Order: sequence, then structure tokens, then C-alpha cells
Amino acid sequence: MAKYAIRRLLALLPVFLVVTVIVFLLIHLVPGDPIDNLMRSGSDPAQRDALSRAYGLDRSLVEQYLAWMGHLVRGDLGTAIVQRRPVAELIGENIGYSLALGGLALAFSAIVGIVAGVTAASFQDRVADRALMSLALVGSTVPSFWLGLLMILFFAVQLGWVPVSGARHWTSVILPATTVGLAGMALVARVTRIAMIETARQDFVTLLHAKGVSRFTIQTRHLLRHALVPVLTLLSLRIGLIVGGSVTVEYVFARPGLGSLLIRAIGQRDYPVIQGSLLMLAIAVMLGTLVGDLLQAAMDPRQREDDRS
Amino acid sequence: MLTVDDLEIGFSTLHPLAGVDFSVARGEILGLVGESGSGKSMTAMSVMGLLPLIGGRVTRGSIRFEGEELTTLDEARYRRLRGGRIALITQNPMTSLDPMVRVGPQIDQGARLHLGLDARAARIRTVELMARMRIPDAARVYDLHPHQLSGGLRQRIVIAMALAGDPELLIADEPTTALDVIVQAQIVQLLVELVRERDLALMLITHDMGLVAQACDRVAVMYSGRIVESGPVAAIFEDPRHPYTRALIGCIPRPGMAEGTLAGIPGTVPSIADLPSGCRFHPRCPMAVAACRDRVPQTVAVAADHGVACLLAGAASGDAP
Amino acid sequence: MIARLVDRLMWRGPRPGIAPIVAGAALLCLVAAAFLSPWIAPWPYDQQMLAEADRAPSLAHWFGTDEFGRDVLSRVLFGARTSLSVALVSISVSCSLGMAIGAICGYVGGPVDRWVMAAIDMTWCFPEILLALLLVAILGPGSTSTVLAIAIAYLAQFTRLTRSQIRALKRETFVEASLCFGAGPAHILLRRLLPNAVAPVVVVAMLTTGDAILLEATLGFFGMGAQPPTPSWGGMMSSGSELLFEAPWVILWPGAAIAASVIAINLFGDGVLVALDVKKRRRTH
Repeated sequence: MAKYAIRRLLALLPVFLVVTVIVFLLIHLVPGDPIDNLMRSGSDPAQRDALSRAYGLDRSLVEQYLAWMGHLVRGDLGTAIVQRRPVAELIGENIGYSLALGGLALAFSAIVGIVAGVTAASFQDRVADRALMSLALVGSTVPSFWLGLLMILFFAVQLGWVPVSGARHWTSVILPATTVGLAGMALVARVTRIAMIETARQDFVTLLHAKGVSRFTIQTRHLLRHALVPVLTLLSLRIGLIVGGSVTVEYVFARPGLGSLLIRAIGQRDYPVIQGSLLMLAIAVMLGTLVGDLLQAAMDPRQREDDRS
Repeated sequence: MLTVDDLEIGFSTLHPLAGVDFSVARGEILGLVGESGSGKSMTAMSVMGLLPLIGGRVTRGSIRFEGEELTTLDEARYRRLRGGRIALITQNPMTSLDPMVRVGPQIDQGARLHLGLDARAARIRTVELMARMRIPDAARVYDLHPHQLSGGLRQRIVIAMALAGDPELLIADEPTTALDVIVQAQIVQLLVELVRERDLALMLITHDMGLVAQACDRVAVMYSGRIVESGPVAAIFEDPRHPYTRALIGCIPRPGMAEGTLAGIPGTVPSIADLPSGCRFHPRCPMAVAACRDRVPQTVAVAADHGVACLLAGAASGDAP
Repeated sequence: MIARLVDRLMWRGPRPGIAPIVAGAALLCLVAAAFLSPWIAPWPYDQQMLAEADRAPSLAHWFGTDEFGRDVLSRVLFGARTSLSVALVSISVSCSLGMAIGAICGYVGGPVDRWVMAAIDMTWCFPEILLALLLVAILGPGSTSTVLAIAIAYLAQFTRLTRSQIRALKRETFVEASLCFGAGPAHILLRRLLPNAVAPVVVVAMLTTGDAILLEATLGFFGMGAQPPTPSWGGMMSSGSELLFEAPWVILWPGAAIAASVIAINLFGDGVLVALDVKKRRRTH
């Protein structure tokens, strides 16, 4: 298992390098002089020179990249143009909110999705199944920002159960997490349902019935365990859905977080902040995928190559 | 011990089984023989009470186990019977075990459910049972996953699983079909030993008349959802009355047989959606007469414990087709 | 993404029934409404009637008015034009580019295939929305960059799909037969392989159009899509969200329009998918 984990981690290295290259190239791809993009135009020449030297803009792209990577591995992501503070600091202030939102959204999509999927599968092709699957379809197609706004109107304004926006109170995370989680939940419910139904057709399940195991135990202990493998695959492949959804929803709910940081920075053309937050979000996707892979291997003995045999 | 009488089952408007009668006694091995599609596995599922699982139900007749009527038994009591007093061995050892669970605990499950053993006692019993199945190094194999075992070993595990609840009746649905020849022989021998040693009743479902001759005491030949001939193995092989039985016996390869003389049966088992009238075998029967098309043959006794459902049963004895 | 595609193929809910037909009809209406908006819209989309700003839905303004007193119904109808055309154009670009690259890579194989695919796969490091944001950060806001951003976000999916189709078809006997008759590679690729690979790619393109509408609306909502005064569904919600409490109908209708069109596309696409049984084809890869 440990060997497998290390192998998976090493496999991520090239992907990580590609991400850093793309993020690094960002300021060079933007039309105009990189220095103008790194600082507001009209600054004094001395500052320009200092910045040029700091970023090594007089050297070749490869050298610049290596220098930038050198800063990166030491945790130096540059300085924000607008706020004039280290980007790493800004990210540090925001990342906790994003992790809380993403984590809760993930938990919501997994738990509610699995429960809905199992329920739909046990009522296959009956009213409950159709209703749940229609809801799942709606859940995965309704724009999350719209849903977020409607939920604000209903739960925060009409009922006054939770704060409208911001992140001052812990209850403020409930609506955003539900909004983000809904799309993932719909997918999880579909996959759980189909996996349960397909597993139920297999011989070993007939034999479980023949052993006198109760229907409930078969559903919850045996079928569900099998359904969890594709669910984990799905979640690890679609972790971007959660990360991307968080970006949108943070903006809707005016919550601090990496997404809000990124959107604001794009509006302000604050490239160091854009680079930093994009990088962090991409890393979140990569790590999420990795964790999903590992969990899946832990669940399914056939996927662990170094299992004793 | 098990008596099935005039069993008919239905899937919506179709009836894959109609008029199935047979019985198995304690200590006896009954071979239930027929081509695929003849309804053997359906019969097994009916006895196990698992028809609802595949969308079917018993529409007529009775299944009695030790005097108790099973067709009307409620689910909770049926569940205690399943895996307890009646156990099933399925066809394909590759798919019959849960791939995500270690094999030992899969065997434990039966003992824990039906004998009320705790985890430790169940484990001890399972390892013993596995050793009895001649699984080498049973204590180690206990902790392996199915994908780490060969087909023969897996089938031994499946048998151990069936025996875990200490059953009295064993239903083995083509237990050797998916295995290679040498392993087949070992598994059959193991089953026969177990029946003798534990005084079980075994219903051995197969399409292989050779296997029947080798292992069974009595045989019931099934065709298109009906028992067409049944009786003691010796009687059936010496004096097969139904043309279908004869054809099946003709399918057994024998040493010294010239190549190409192995008699196949032309045609296929009719689909249950489109059954022929009269005797269901008549379109493929080499001896069919006009009456076969119109009249459904009733089972008649041609000797003690030897019944045949063929209009020509009395007339055509002895000579091979 | 392929993951997305797998989700689709795993979908197979309860039998579709008449849902795809209803959805198809709804799509037709939607396209007609977008096309005919200049004629059927009760008001010009940019006519400001400040005296009637923030009015709730009424007989004069069925969907109400926004903060400048513009008719929301008219803006939703005109917005359909923007949103649908951006989605359609970007998916057409993405799909045709992806098919071209995928077909060539799949047919040629070797180092060209490896390197081009590696470059295309780089886009998979980012979720679609991040990729689109990255591109908008480079190109600046506006309809053109939205089209490009969406096109590039889905490029890898179409390239991969076409490539695998072509690779599977390449091995089939009719290709050998054509080679025996002396057909050139261009002929084989364009006349023999592509026509056979087109159906699944087009179905996926149709399904992806729903995602593209969502993506366009999201960018619009961030204020990075079509710039005012051009109405787009996402843009309307962006300005409407500031008046969420005073005039919720301003965001209600465009959001409902997005949801309805995406659901209709999905239902219709699933129906087509079942009809064509793309799944069967997928197994042959």
C-alpha cells in the first residue's frame, strides 16, 4: 500500500511541473510588457528595474522559470500589486475558508449522494427512483450561482436561518457548502445507483441471498461496498467540480477564500495573485485526485498490486 | 426429504417451468439433467425461494422440505432455511465469491448466521472446513482474497461456504462446468464423499450424463421446463425410454469411440416465449408421430420408480434411436 | 473531459420515455425564441425607463424590470441569442478543432501523436472553470475571449474522443480494403474514417453545449463575458445579484432560462445517446 502511494505521488510530479509552467507563462502570454503587468504603469523607473531584476526579466525564459520555481519552493509567490503584500500571506489568510467549504461540500455530495443512490437503487424503476433521478438531473444542471442566490433569498432572507453572506459565523458555510455539494451529489447518486443495480446482478449476490443473508445486510454491507469504488473514482476524477464550484460559490456568497481571491485578482489584473491562487487551486485538484485514488486502492483489494499473495 | 410436485413458475405471462415433479431422499444424490435453457437452474432457484430476485414466482404446485411447504413460507423463515438447512453451490467459482471480501469471512458468515457462532468460533470452524475441502494451508488461505486463488480452490471455498451452515440438502448447480477436467473429477469426488459422510441429500444439476453415471443414485431428465424421465441411474442407463434421454446418453464420449460418431441433438431447446404444442420435444424428436404434436404426454410408470412422459414410452423400449 | 463522458455513459436512469421528445421540442422553442427575439420581444432590450425601474412582474412587464427600468422578458429573449450563440460557436470551434487534431493524431500515430496529445492533455490539469478563468485573465473579458476560453476548455475532450474513434476504426478491414485499391491517406481519413467517427463526437458535442451554456453564464456572472449593454443571461444575473433583495425577479428569470435550457439539452442528448447506443461503440475502442 505504501509503495502504491509513493508511486502515485511520483506520477503527479510531471503534472505539477506542467501546472507550474502554465501558471508561470501566464504573465508572458498576457499582451503587453510583463513589467507593466506586474506593476501599475507609470511607476518610477527605479522600481521597474528592481522588479525586472527580481524577476530576472532580462534573462531567458528558462532561467526565469527556474528562478521563479526557486522562489516557489521556498514559499515565495511574489507580491500582490494592489495590496502590496506577499501573495503567500494572502493565500494563507484565505485557504482555510476554501478548505472548509470544499471539505464540507465534498462530504455533503458523498453522503447525501450515496444515500440517494442507494434509495433509488432499492426502488429501481419505481416512483421514488424516478423522482430521485430527476432531482439528480436538475441538481447537476442548475447553475450553482443561481441556486446560491435563490438559497440566500429563501433561507437567509425569508427564513433568516443563516447569515446572508460573509464568513463571520460558522453557520455561514452551510448554504455555500450545500450549493457546491449539490452538483457533486447528483453525480454520486447516479453512479451509486447504477453500481448498486449492476452489482446486484452478480452471482455472488445470488449466493449471499442463498446463504440466508438478509436483504438489508446485502444492500448496506455488500452492495454498498462495491458501489463505493466507482463513487470514489468519480469523486477523485471530478474533484475539479468541487474546486471549480467553490470558486463560483465563494464569489456569490461574498465569502473569503481562494476563489474570491482569484476572481477579484482577475478583475484587478493582479497577476501575481492570479498565479498564486490558480496554482493552489490546481494543487488542490491534484491532491484530491491522489487521495481518491489511494482510498480506492484501500477499498478494493484487486487494485493493490503489492497485496500479499 | 425434498418433494417437488407439479411445480409451475411464472415470469409475467411466461411459464419456464410447468409440471415439474421429483424428489430427493436423505443420503441420496439426484442428478437433474438437461441442456441449458431446459429450466434446471430455475428449479434450483425455486427450491431456494429466490425466484423473486430474478422477477419470477411460483404459480402452481408445491415444494415440500421435510414435510414443510416452502411455496407459502414467509421470507423471514425462508431465510433461516436458506444457507442453514438448504444450501446452494453455484456454477461459476470466478463470480460466486465477493471479490472485495477475504474468503474466510465469507465462509464464516453462514456459521455465524445459522449456527450462532461468534467470530472466533466461526473462524476455527471455517479453517477446519477448509481443510476438509482439501484446501492446502487453510489458515493462510483464510485471509486471502478470491482473486488470489485458482478456480478449483475457489470452488472448494464455495462448497465450504455452502456447508458452513450445516445443511441437510445441498443443491449444486453445475458445480464443475467452469473447471478443467482433472479439477472437475476432484470436486465431484469431494461432493460424493461429503454426501456419504454427512448423510446429506444432494441435488446435482448438470448437462453431463457422464457425470450423472459416475456420481448419482437417481436421475431426473429435464426438457423445456418439464421432467421427461426419471428413475434410478442404472435403470435409466440400461433402459432409457424417452428419446431425449437416449440422445443425452448418446452425447457421452466413450473410450474407443470412433471420431465423429458422438451423437449431437439437432436443433435447440425451444424458447419459453414460443413453445411447441403437444410434447415439447417433438420438433427435435427422431421418432415423433402425428399425435406428439397434439397431445401432451403424461408421466407413466414403466417400472418401479421409473417414470416417462412420452406417448411412445410403452412401445419403444430397448432399441437405440 | 473523459470523466464527464463516463458520467454520461453511466447515467442510464430509468427508461427515458417521452422526456427526450418534450426536451427536443423545448429546445426548438428556445432556439426559435432566440432567433426571433427582435420581433417577439415586447420591448427593445436596451430601452431604459428609469421611472419604472425595479418593478415586479406585471402585465406590462411580464418578468418585471431591472434597475434601469429595462424589460426583463425582452432581455432574457435577447440574452438567449448571446448565450446560445456563444455556446454554439465555442462548441463548434472546439469540436471541429478537436476532430481535426484528434483525427490526424489518431491516424498518424507515433511521436506526432504523443507530443500533440501531451500538449492537449495539459489542459486537464485544471477544471474547466479554472481553465476558462486563466484564459480570460490572459485575453481580457468579452464575448470573443469567452468563446475562446470555452473552446479550449473542452478541446481535449473532443480530441481524445475523435482520436480513439479513429484508432479503433483504423484497424478495421474496410480501411485495408481501401488501401488495396490505392486510396491515399487523405482519402481514407476524410472519406472512410471521419464519417464513421462523427456520430459519437456530435452527440458528445451536443451534451457539452449544455456545459458550455453554464460556463458562459458563470463567466458572465463574474462580469467577464459579453460586456454591457449586450444582454447575456450570466451578465444579467451579475448586475441583478446586487439588487437581489429588492428585485429578485431580475436574477430569477435568466437563471431559470439557463437551467431550463441545460436540462432540455441533457434530456434530449441522453435520448439521442440511447437511440444511437454510443455505449456499444465505446466498447469497441
